[in-house]
Amino acid sequence: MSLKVLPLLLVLLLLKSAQGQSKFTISGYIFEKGSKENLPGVMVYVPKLNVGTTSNNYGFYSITLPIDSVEVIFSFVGFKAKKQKFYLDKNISFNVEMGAEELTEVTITAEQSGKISEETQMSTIEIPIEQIKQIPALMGEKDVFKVIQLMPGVQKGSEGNSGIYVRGGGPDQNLIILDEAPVYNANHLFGFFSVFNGDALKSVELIKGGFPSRYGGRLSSVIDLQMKDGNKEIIQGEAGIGIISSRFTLEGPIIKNKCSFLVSARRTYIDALIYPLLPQNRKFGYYFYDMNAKVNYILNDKDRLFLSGYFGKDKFYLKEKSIDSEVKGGLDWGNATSTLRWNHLFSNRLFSNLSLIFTKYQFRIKMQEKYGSDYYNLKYISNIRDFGAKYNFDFMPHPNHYIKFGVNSTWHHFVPQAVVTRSSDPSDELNNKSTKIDTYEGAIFMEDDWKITSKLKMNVGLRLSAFSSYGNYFINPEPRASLRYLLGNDYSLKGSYSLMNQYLHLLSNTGIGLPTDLWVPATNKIKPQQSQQVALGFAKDIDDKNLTITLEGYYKLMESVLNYKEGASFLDIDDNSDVATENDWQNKVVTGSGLSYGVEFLIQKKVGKFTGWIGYTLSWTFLQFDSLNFGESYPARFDRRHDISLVGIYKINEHITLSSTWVYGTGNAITLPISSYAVEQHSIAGPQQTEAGFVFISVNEYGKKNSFRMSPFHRLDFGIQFHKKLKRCIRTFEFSVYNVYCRQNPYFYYTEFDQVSNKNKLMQLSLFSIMPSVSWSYKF
Amino acid sequence: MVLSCSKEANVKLPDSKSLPVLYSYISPTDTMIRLKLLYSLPIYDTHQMDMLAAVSDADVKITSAQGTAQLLFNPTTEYYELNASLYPIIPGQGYKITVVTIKGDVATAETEVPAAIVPINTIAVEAISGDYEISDRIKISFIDEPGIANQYRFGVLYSSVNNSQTDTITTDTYINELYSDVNNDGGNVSLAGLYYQGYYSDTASSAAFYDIFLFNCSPSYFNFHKSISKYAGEDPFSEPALIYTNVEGGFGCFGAYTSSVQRYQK
Repeated sequence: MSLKVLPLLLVLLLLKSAQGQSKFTISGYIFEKGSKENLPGVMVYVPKLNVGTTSNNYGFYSITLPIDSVEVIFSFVGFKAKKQKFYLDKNISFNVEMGAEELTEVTITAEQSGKISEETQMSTIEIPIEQIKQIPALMGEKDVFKVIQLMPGVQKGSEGNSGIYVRGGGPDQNLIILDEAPVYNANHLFGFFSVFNGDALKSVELIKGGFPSRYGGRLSSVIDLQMKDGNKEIIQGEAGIGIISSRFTLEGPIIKNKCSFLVSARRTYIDALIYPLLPQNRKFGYYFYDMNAKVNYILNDKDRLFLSGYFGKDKFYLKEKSIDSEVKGGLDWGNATSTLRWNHLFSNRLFSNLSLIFTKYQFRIKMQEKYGSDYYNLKYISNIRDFGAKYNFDFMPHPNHYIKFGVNSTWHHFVPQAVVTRSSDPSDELNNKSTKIDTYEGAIFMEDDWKITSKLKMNVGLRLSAFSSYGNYFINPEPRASLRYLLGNDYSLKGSYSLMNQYLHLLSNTGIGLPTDLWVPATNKIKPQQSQQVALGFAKDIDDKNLTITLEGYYKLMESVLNYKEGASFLDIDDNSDVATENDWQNKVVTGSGLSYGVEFLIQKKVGKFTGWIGYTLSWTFLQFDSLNFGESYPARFDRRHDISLVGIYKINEHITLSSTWVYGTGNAITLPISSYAVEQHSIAGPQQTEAGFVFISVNEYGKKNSFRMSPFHRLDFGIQFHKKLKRCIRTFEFSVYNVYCRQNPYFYYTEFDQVSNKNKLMQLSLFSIMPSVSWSYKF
Repeated sequence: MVLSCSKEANVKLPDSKSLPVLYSYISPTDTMIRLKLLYSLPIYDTHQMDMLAAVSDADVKITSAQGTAQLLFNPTTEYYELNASLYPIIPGQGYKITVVTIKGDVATAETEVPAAIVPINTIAVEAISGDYEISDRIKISFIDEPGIANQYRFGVLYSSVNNSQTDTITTDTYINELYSDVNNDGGNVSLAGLYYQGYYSDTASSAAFYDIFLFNCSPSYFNFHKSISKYAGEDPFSEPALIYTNVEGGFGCFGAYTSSVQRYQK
């Protein structure tokens, strides 16, 4: 039997069984009062029957119950819970409007807030957008990724960097999706800021393990970002001015309650400020911008359309002119994504979403040099472009089953590296058209969130993924399972297993997400990466204090992870590159395995005057490549034994909000030179000559790879926001201080010769000592 | 933008001291056993030493089933030497080098001479002409010795008599192909290298020939040269390359090889 037919048959069977039991369905959309923004993740709970469900990413919910009089509670963190009574003698369509809570501390009952102890899913963290806007940030630039870095199980790259390292995985192993479209390079300014503008986002979810089968294609995490749909009732906007960038967001109805739009943009302006100060013959600058746009249209009760897009670019440029020479060039990189989605209700229990997806990431270097009649031009391009389609279904036949199934397919087009040089000296010319690769990735999946007993619930699923590249086909089944067992009213044991395959690799020398990193596909030589992860955990809700506590241990094995060979780099073009084969990048890399294990603790308070969390991670991460470190296992650069994050936000009153974070992390494992010595290779021409004719090279001795630890990283940030209600808007003034006690965290180490002591010293470069910043924002 | 500051790092520096660095490559066909002895320079120590200065006052011994013999320092060549006629290198036999310096540092290394000489089966030389220059692509094939792990090095010397001179001038082509028979035990192996000869106008010579070498190497010989070939210096974008050593108490390489050589007349 074809695997594609299986989900449909199952759906029909479940539909039939549900219809035969005199049950009726309450369904509809849940949205925010005032903006009509759809609300995902709202808990829908029937206390009398002790059953419930949650709204999906589009705010749709459906719960099927026997004939009876029932009370349904709709609850969502930060919103007033809503109770509604129904008499079920027919199917009911009921849309729910939810309003935000007052600022004052309120008592949230157990039913009113989603309980982490009851969720099947483990290793998942919702990042509240409001908290992102309140946490102090580098130069006042609010950054989703910097907040994600404060969560246990997520390691920071280095000072100020947005790199995300989840449970021992690299930045390439994160599936970052914005409105269903993957984002391949999520960094601005060499990783100091992420590309996501918090003003345009509705929700952010991080999944570190126990992956539901609807997600695939990366080993270590899913970061699922949803853009706001746009206010359907009134025109609304927000503008902000910071020390490095300004931003602007406008949203509102095109047709009231039916069609709305959102546009949000951000740009840095340091280049524009310094441009007039630079000499006429020497101009250089850097800027980045990004723009989010979205339109949605409610066609009728059953159909909705969404069109969303993201466009962002970083550019560094240089122009220099003298009497007899001219140099101009620079580098730029950026992402573009767009998604067209169609929501359709086949019935009040069967929801579907069809997505057509485009995404592209491109990095370019351009350099033109002219010296009199001599010239030299260089162009370097690396890009990846996807066209994809996803058709996903949510089927809710019974309160004890929430079934998701679907199919997706993506055409990846890669240009890992194309180098063209033109010169007045023909021997410098190079036309490396070597690497244009088309590959296809697809998957079908099915999962069921199944309440087996009142205590036992599991999410079990299977994903069948496939990939074709260079005429090679990979097909891999990926079983997934998460399990929750309630030990009491508010605490539970959880466990999960997931097998993941990743068919795309990122070649990175630094591991910090530089634009020079290359995306390449799996081939017959470079196999797909694969991971298996088991996790065990404990979750507890302390209702009267609005606290959730989780403790999780994980063990993850990774196979076929990639690294550059020793001595290789992205611009390392081999001597025969003008006649290069299509696979030349494959000769620069080695594959190996990884192992990561650890324990994570999180205590979090999401509602009330005081919110925040404490996160702690104890972890180990090792890599092993046959041809690196002489085949011996070594600690990964971001192997971090201890990682602590303390985050606190306190709303003194409706005018003042205080916030502070403190982070601590064990230093990165790096390779440092220990000594140097001369090398004499065996010469077939005879023994080497000494002194005058001595042919030698000097090499550094590094000891074991990554055997040196950088100093521990720690830092305290502080912020204060003043909110003032003006006649037509709310003004927020923020003053924040990054690195309050001026900790000099090492960014990298280097060796410097000291003439006085006549010896080399190990020096450290630190970025960002104490950094105060101010920003204003206006919400109208 | 980058409000950086630099200072001396307040961390415990990696332990390092100056250690003996030795290089010795032995073969049954060589007439002399040679060893070069130097010292390494700790990166974070006072610069008082020259890394090229040959260490002349050490006690250097070679040991095998034949017994132990001493290598003596030759101030002219700056090698420790022992005539192979007094202490023959025997295929298939293990050897140990022991160095004791006057400072009391002890460095030892062991290697085993490959048992077989692997002959070159075929040689093909193809002239490749560019717009302005000329190169030779030299290709050999041989049958890997089956049943055991082997490592090979393929190298070429170029000799010619320039038309204006009478002496034969020999130059290293720097063709240095290293090959391991992992996954191809007993197979037919082809190796090739490109020798760039220069511009057309520079290539007027006669009686040119290539001496083509195939070394069957010890693992230490192979691993050391392989790691050197990957070394990229201080390139910040490159993965740091670790240099292989089989020297206990120091650095360097004690390797062995057997050699087959064929001459190709151009």
